[in-house]
Order: sequence, then C-alpha cells, then structure tokens
Amino acid sequence: MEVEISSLSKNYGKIQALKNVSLLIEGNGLVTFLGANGAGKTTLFKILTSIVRPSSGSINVNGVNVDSNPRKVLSNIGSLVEEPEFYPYLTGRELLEFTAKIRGESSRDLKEEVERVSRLTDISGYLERKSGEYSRGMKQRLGVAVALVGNPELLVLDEPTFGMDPKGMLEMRKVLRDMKKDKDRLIIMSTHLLEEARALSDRTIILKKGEIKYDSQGTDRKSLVRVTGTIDPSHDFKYGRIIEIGEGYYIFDVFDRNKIPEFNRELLSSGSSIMYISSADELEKEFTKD
Amino acid sequence: MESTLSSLSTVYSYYLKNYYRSRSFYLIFSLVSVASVLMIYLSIHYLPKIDSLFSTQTSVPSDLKEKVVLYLWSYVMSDLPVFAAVFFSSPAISSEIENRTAFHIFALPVDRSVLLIGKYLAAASAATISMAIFVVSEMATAEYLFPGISFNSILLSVGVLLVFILAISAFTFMVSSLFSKNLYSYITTFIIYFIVFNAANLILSLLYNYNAFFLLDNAASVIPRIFLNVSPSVFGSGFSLNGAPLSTLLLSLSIMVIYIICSLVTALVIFERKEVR
Repeated sequence: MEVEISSLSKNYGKIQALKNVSLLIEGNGLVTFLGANGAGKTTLFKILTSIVRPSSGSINVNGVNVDSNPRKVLSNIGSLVEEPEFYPYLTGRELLEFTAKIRGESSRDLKEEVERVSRLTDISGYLERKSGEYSRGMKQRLGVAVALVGNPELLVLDEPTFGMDPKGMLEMRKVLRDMKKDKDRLIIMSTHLLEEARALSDRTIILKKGEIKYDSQGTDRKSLVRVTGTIDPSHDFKYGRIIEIGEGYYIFDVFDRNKIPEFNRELLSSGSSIMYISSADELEKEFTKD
Repeated sequence: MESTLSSLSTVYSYYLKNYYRSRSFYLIFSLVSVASVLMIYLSIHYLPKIDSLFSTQTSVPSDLKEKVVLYLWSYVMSDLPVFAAVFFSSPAISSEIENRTAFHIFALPVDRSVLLIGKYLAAASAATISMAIFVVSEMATAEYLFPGISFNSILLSVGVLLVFILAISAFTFMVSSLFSKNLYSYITTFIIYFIVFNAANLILSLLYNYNAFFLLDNAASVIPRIFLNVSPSVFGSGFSLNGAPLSTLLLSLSIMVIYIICSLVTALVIFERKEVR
C-alpha cells in the first residue's frame, strides 16, 4: 500500500486548512496524524476519502489519483471521518449490509461479514436497533464497523476513540492493535491524544496549522533527559548538551543513549542541585512546542 | 453497467426503507388520509344537493355530476404531491450535509450520480405510496356514487399524477442541492411553488393576457382538467364541460418531463461538486 501526498493545499474561503503538505506513506502498520483541533487532520482525511476536493496538489493511492478516480480508490479504503452519523431509521445491521452491498459483497457472504465486523467492534447486541437510537460511543463503534466492512487494505480513521468512555477507548485501541498486525493493511488514523499516538503508532506525524511539523520517520530519535533543579549552563558536559532551558528544568540531549548512566553520574558530580532526573518524550516536546 | 444498476438498486431500497419509516412519511400519510376522508364526506354529502345549486327545472345530468366529483378529487390530488415532495425531497441533499450522513456515503465506492438518482427514485416512490390511499378512496367513492363507472379517466389522471410526482420531486431535489440547511430548502421550495409561480402566473395572465404554460403548477393543473377543462389559476383560460384536449395533455406532460430532466441534471452537477466542510 502506498499513499503519496503531493503539495496538497486546501482553502475554505480565506482559511488555509492545509498548506502545501507532501508526504509518502508506504507499507503496512499504523500511521498517526497527531494534532490539536483545527490542525488540518480531518481536512486531509476528507480529501483522502473524496469528501472534499483539494485546492491544489494531489493524493495518489497505489498510484491512482483520488480526485480523478475516486470510485476506484475508495473501493480499497474503509473510512471513518468526523463524528459519524447514519440514516436514523435504518438499523445497525441494515447500515452494515448497505455498505457491504455497495462494496460488492455477495448476498451469500453478507451475513457473515456483518457478524465479523460487529463482533470486532462489539456491537453485535445492538444490530437490530435503529441507528438514531444509538449513543455517541455506539455510533463511533458502528462507524468503525462500517469502515471495516469488506476488509479494505487501507483504513482511514479520524479520531476513532472520540466520544467513547475510558473502557470503550481501551477496547477500541485493542481492536486497532489487532488490526495493525495484519500484514496487508495500512491504518492511517488521527488523534489529538498524545498517549494514544504513543501507544499505537508505528509512525507519528504532527500537523500544526495545516503544516507537517514533525515526522517520526527519518528523524533521528534523540535521547532526551529532563533534569529538574539548578544547573550551571556553562558547564561543559561530556555525555550530553542542554537543548532547552525551562522554568526550573533543563532538557538534555544525551549523545549516546547507552551512556545515560554515565551522563547521570556526570550530572551529579558537576555540583548541580538536582531534584530529579527523568526521560523526556520527544513527541511530547514536538507536540507542545509553538 | 451491471454493477451500477446493482448499486442503484441497493441505494434505492435502503433509502426507501429510511423514508417509509420516517416521521415525515407518517405525517404525509395522515395528511392524505384526512384529505381522503374529507373528500369522501364532501362527495357523499353534497352530491345529492348539486341539483339545488343550479336553480333550473331540469336536473344536472349524471355524467356532469360524475365529472364535477372527479374534477374536485383530482384538483385536491394535484396539490398533495407538493406537500409530499417538500417533506421527502426538499431535505434530500441538504440533510446529507446538515446531518453529516454525507461523511458515510461520500466515502463509499459509488458514483454520486447513483446516490442522487437512487435517493430521488426512493423519495418519489415514498410520495407515490403516500398518495395511494387517496387514489383508492377516489375510486371507491366513484364506484359507490356512480356504479359501473369507467375508471379510464381516473387511471389517466393517476398516470399524469405519477409524472407530476417525478417532476415536483426532481424540482425540489434541485432546490435541495443548493443548500446545506434543511430549513432553507423547505422554505425556498414553498416560496417558489406557492408564491413565485403564482405571482408570475398572475402577472403574465392579468397584464399580458399570457398563459404561462411552462410553469410546473400550470402543467399540473391538467390533472383535474382531464375531467373538466377549467383552470381557476389561469385567468381567461375558458371553460369547457369536456376534458382538456389531447394537445394540452401532451404539452403539460412535456413540460413535466422537461422539469424532470433539467432539474435532475442541475441537481447532479451541483451534487457532484458538493463538499462537506
């Protein structure tokens, strides 16, 4: 599976939701777009699923342009974009059957497919209820089930745990973990939860104000250490260097992650007043910095 | 082609289910039922009094009574689909945006034209089904009042009604495609059909003595005129105890077909470019 995003921009009137985004996602696994509300994650997913058209640039999935051949591309994509809403007078089973039929499932396999996806998302007990009677969290589960119908190679999930209670979130993360084990599947999801990205992703991309600010792929993973206390910044450390000074804390980039114990000893013997030393998360740093 | 037809059939059947289970369907069904009951009461109660309405010595011929009764039924029948179309078709496209169901259907591997046509046929079917009780009541009342009556003219008026349902549904689909809010769509359809069309009709008819035959409401007026060629909406259009001539019927049907084609093509062009922000 290959998703190639080239110089993609999207404007809503004067608002520029995406600014010249270029990216290549290859292979399988789970790629997460992390960003605050309004970062451009959903707009990117809407273009990928042909819900909106780009102002400029393009997305190709396995070499096929989404904008010029949406039907062919979408036959390989299962998606959940924004908070899902469904036709309120159709039951969960009917909505899954409708999606399966549109995806070309044969009538013979229909029941089996509905059972499979509803078991995976734990909505088997609610299939005969009309979707208009579903709670927010149940609609979210139904949305994921709809995305899974037909076992598509590419899953596009926009904040799949949104609106779920803590138990539901944990269950959904387990479903995502199980799904990403499938060697033939690529999952692209978005979240604004750092711990979700950290727990699930093989690759994390941070979007801010419509631009890619960080991509864990191709970035040298630094060994960052947070030291709380007072340090003489002019001290020449052998095993690391200060890259950020905050209020009462210092972030060190340790040159060799295998030499962290030596770095700690050097720190303690440098005459600094240290309250505690902890590892600093690079993702958190990138996510929170302006 | 086969897969397109299969998708169309799937889209149609599930949209129809969603329509006939909706509150709108029950509301329209109730409205049509009330109209049917009132028409039955009117027909049975006032038919014997028709003679007294005309202060002549001779009684009104039976075939004229028959025409008057069927004219009145068809006159009401030609207005009911407008309400059905407003309820079923006006929010057809705008609701996909407002209720965010578009996020589900736009991301499916199916052409938007298939979605639009499938939904259009489902909305028109729902409107037709809701009209069924009125047609059955009309036939039953006609048979009761005029035993042995020929149903040919009634069936002809029902046939024209079906074309009108397709036309008014297509027209409201087009209006709906312009908006992302259901309320705007409802209001605009009502304003165009009941105010703009009537105003245009009045102005052209009174000031220029011109029959605006191209307006959809005028075309629909042919439904009762199958029985008596009387058009209260067109000033100076003449009066005839016979039904409208074949040329008028064909012209009205052509106008309706033109509305269907133009409205659907316009709706499709807009729907293809529709985005959900």
